[in-house]
Amino acid sequence: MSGAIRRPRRRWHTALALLIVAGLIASVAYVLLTPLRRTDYLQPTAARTLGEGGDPNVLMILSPWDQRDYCPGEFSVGAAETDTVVSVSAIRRVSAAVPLFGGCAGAEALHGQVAVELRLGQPLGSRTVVRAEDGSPLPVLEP
Amino acid sequence: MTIHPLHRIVAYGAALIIFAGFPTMAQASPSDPADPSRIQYVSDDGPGLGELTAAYQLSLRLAEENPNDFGYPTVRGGRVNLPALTEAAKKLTSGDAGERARAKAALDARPLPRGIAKRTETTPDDLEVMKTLDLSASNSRTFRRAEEQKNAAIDLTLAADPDAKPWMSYIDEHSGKVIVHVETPTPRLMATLAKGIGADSVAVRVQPKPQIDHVSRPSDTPPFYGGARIYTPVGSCSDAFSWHSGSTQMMLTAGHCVPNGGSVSTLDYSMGSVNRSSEESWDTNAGTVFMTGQSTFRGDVAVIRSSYSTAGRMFRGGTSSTSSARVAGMASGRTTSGMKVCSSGASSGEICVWTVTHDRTLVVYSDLTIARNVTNTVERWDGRCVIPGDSGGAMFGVNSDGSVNAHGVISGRMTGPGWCQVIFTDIYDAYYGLPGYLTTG
Repeated sequence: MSGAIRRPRRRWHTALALLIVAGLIASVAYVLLTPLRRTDYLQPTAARTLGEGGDPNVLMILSPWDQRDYCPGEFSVGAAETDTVVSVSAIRRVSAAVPLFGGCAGAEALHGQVAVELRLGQPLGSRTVVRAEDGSPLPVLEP
Repeated sequence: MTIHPLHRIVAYGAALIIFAGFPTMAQASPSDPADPSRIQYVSDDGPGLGELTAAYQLSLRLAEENPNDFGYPTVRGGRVNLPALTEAAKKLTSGDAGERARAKAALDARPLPRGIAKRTETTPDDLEVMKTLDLSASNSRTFRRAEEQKNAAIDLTLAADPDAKPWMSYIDEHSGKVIVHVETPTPRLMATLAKGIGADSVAVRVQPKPQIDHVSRPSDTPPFYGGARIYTPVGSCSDAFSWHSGSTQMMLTAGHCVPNGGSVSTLDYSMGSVNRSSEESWDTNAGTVFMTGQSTFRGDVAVIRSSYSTAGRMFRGGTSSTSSARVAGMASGRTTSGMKVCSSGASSGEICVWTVTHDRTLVVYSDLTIARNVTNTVERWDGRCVIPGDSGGAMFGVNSDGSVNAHGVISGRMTGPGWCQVIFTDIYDAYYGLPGYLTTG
């Protein structure tokens, strides 16, 4: 009789232990497989010079942004330069995938746009600025 | 007595691990400064400065203006201890007020150390406070070395073990140790601190990294006041205080609003411009950087050369306020722990709930940019905090006649469950690092 009572209790303990182990494995797998950072891309829509006192080798590349603020340190953009054209790549944004540990190093977006720093090899001068993806020209705005 | 074979295996295994697996532990001597097990943990901020605030502020000024003559000031035994490391420094508490004035004048007559654009003036009150300082500790590291250690604590640990998430460092006013806030005190982080700083010169506080944000009045016209909305190359920010150098009119703002210099405007006016590198202290990828020709980090600050006149006044009240107050002057010294201050920015208006917790700290943002030599304040979050668009705004104290004193320039904010911190650049970093002076009303 006593043996018949113990057997289901053991099965229950075994099932609980297996469940805990499975939960631990799933948690570890989630932590290991979830990237700490995510990468997104934005297409440039315009460029803006810095104006007086600003670094002549820096252009601000603009792209639509639907949030109130943004973090300049999360964004980067590159360009291929020739004597006549500056071809601007997509804007890369690397941000914390889990905002729990994230912060934001930012400013309030102006006119619904982010402004991302592009460092050129030489001042823009009379060169044309185009979007690398489709070659379409980007307007160069004054500050 | 018999020993179970399993117990024997466990005992042999443990011995093997102790003697073979952790050779560095076995080799560390009890006084080895590179022994990470000697690093202390701290769990709170310690008491505030109370009535020693003025003496501590003066000590910071003396040490900052003479970084190789003094050590880092601390509060011990009811006095402010300012280690005097040179003969010139030791004369500051000797004799009567006249002798102290001569000793101070002799210090001031020497060439400016790198990173200091100008020294502050010595007042009769300073000379009285000076005699209360304890200058006897002569075996301290210099102030300059302490500052280097504070920076290294973040730089080294971020490079060695970023997953440990070191996110703030500063020098404790009581122990003089570099305090590093980390999420996880990993063995690699602790070993790096012990080796790079010295186990007895550093302590660790385990604390989750809070949410950290930079933060950015609506249409200001000349003469420009502080606390107003400005438009910069990165977006909307605020300005803090009016500033001047000779006949040049200026406004202070945050460096991260103009990290490469450039033009700045208000809604209707082209306010002026910032000269890159020499008049702003921020790099979008690195955070605080040295301004041209300097060797001291100056938080997150920039000066706008205005095309129009500016005034020694600052907006107070809400976001659409037109009321303002006279700026009476700079705070009497650096803003230190326990002090109560207010913020004034274009996006959140005036908030007067902040208590300073730490000064001259390093704060690591989530994108791994580092704000160096900034000041932290905190308040239980009642729904109000500075927000993006307040960046570059003013931190100030209110005098009994309604005028205000300048304490600093808003850099960013940190938020956590139920609380909010404002991070700002002390006005003395603007004073020491930038050309010009605060414009008073």
